[in-house]
Amino acid sequence: MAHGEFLILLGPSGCGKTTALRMIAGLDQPTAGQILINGTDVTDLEPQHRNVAMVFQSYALYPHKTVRQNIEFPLKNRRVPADQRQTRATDAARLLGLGDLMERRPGQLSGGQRQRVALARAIVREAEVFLMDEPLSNLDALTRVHTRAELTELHQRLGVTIIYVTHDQVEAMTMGTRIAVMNDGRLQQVGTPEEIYRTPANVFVASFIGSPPMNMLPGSFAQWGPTALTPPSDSVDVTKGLLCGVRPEHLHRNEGPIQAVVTAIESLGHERHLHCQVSIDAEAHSVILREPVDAPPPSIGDQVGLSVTEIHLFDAATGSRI
Amino acid sequence: MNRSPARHRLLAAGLLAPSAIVLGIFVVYPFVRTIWLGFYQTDPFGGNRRFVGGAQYVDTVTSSEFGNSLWVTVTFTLLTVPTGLILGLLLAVLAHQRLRGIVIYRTIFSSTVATSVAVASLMFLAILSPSVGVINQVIRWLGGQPIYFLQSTTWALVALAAVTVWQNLGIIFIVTSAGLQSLPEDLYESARLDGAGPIRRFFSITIPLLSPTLLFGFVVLTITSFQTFGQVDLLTQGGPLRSTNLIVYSIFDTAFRSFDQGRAAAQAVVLFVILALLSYLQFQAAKKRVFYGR
Repeated sequence: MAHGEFLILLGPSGCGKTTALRMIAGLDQPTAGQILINGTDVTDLEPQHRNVAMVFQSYALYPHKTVRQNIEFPLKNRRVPADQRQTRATDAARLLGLGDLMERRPGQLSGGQRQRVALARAIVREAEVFLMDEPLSNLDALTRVHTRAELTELHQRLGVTIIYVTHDQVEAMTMGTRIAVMNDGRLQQVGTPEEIYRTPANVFVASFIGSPPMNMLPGSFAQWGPTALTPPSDSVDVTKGLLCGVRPEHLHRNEGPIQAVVTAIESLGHERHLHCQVSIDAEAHSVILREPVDAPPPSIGDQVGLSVTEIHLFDAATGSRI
Repeated sequence: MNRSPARHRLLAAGLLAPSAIVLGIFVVYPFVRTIWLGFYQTDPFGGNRRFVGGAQYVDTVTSSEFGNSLWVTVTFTLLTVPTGLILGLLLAVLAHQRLRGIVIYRTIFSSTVATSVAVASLMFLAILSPSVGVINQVIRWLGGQPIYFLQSTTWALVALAAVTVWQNLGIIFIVTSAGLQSLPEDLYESARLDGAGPIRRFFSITIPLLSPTLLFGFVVLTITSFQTFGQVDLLTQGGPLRSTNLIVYSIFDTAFRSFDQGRAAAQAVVLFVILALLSYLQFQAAKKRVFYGR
């Protein structure tokens, strides 16, 4: 990854993203491969010699130390003179709005404040790479939204390199300059949020990114797609062995050719999700479509006609994008 | 259910009664009786009580014999408490490592807690024996003269301290091990990333977070040191030349060899006051250094 990038490691629980982060930090040893930081192989270096800073999911603040002592701790270990330590800790604290809390202990702070102390302790190090392991997961929804924006702003202001682990795709899409999607210990795709969303590399990425998730349907659904698939001869079925992915926003209720029955309606206030059943090759399949709330609402059981504006094709055997 | 305050009090009294009765019979009554006994002089058979007021208490505090016992006990405490605490903590830190077969070591380290004073004393009697003891065998092998540990005024107290430290290791090991296991692993990982080496991690994280456990160990060891009896009775009987005449042994001697129960009771009460004062001072001194989690 490039200097100054904000890379998100995204994937479901147990996919290996935290393990990858811990290997970069030096807390776990990889069984194969190399870890390079600024072109230097750090695979066998102890964590303290890698010049990486980490914000843990639990924040890992020293409970018996004050905020100031927590922030100064990494500098003290590196034998930075006391006056410099104090100045740098004060600067980091001011940057994160902790100026008035310097003499408090972590137990006297809110979750959001603790998270900032953990960030300040990482920033004060002036490390090469900042590693963050789901740092927002212990915050309430409102604080999380605020902190998300603050983190993005901080990244832009400091221009530091951040690797950030999350399973929350909203965090990933809103904060990352690039996203690395992982599953089952393997990297599935690396790209900008737009690339990951618009051109998912495989069925896993397509299904994992997006809420509601992409509808996965048999290949013959492609007959209703915006572009017809042209077979080499009449006897060949080009849709065989394909999976057809359709994002909920690319399905429209507009008297189109696809016949569907509405089975459930979810109204979120700003948009509506319709759960419908469509028949493909005489088999019933469920699809979800997203529509604005100003469209006249259907009723459950209504027969509706759908059309599709964009489809993604995947190899049914390998799951790869075609 | 709605109950009147009187019925509430009755129920509370009923529920508390079993504990109160047991506490009363086995703690409060003997304690009050001991204080009371301290005001009476008794004949060698424990009879013919004569009220002497606080004279026996004054005698106890001013007597050189009690002063000597107190001095021996303080020396003994200084020998046993820091050593026991440091060794127990070191063993706990060693056994906290994730190594193959570490459970076996944990069992061995904590086994002294299941050993009685008698067994420990007999074991050390054999180890310290001038003729067949392993320590003297080594001294002889190195060309030295055998040391009569239990007969020497210089070594007898040290030998008793060794038995006591060995016996206390188990409990301190168990308590500190439990404390270590409750410390969050991510603090250590964070400290490693923050550039702290093993020694800094030990003094900056382990010791402060373990301070309540260490204070508990410190107070308990101090009290048990002041109450030591079995080892003295089995190994030295307070000798040679009263060099191991710890307070509790001195009380026993006064009560059951000199049959002076009144004076022994006064000594026991003075010991209680000393221990209560000492525990209070320990807690006060440790107040600022112990971190209780907020």
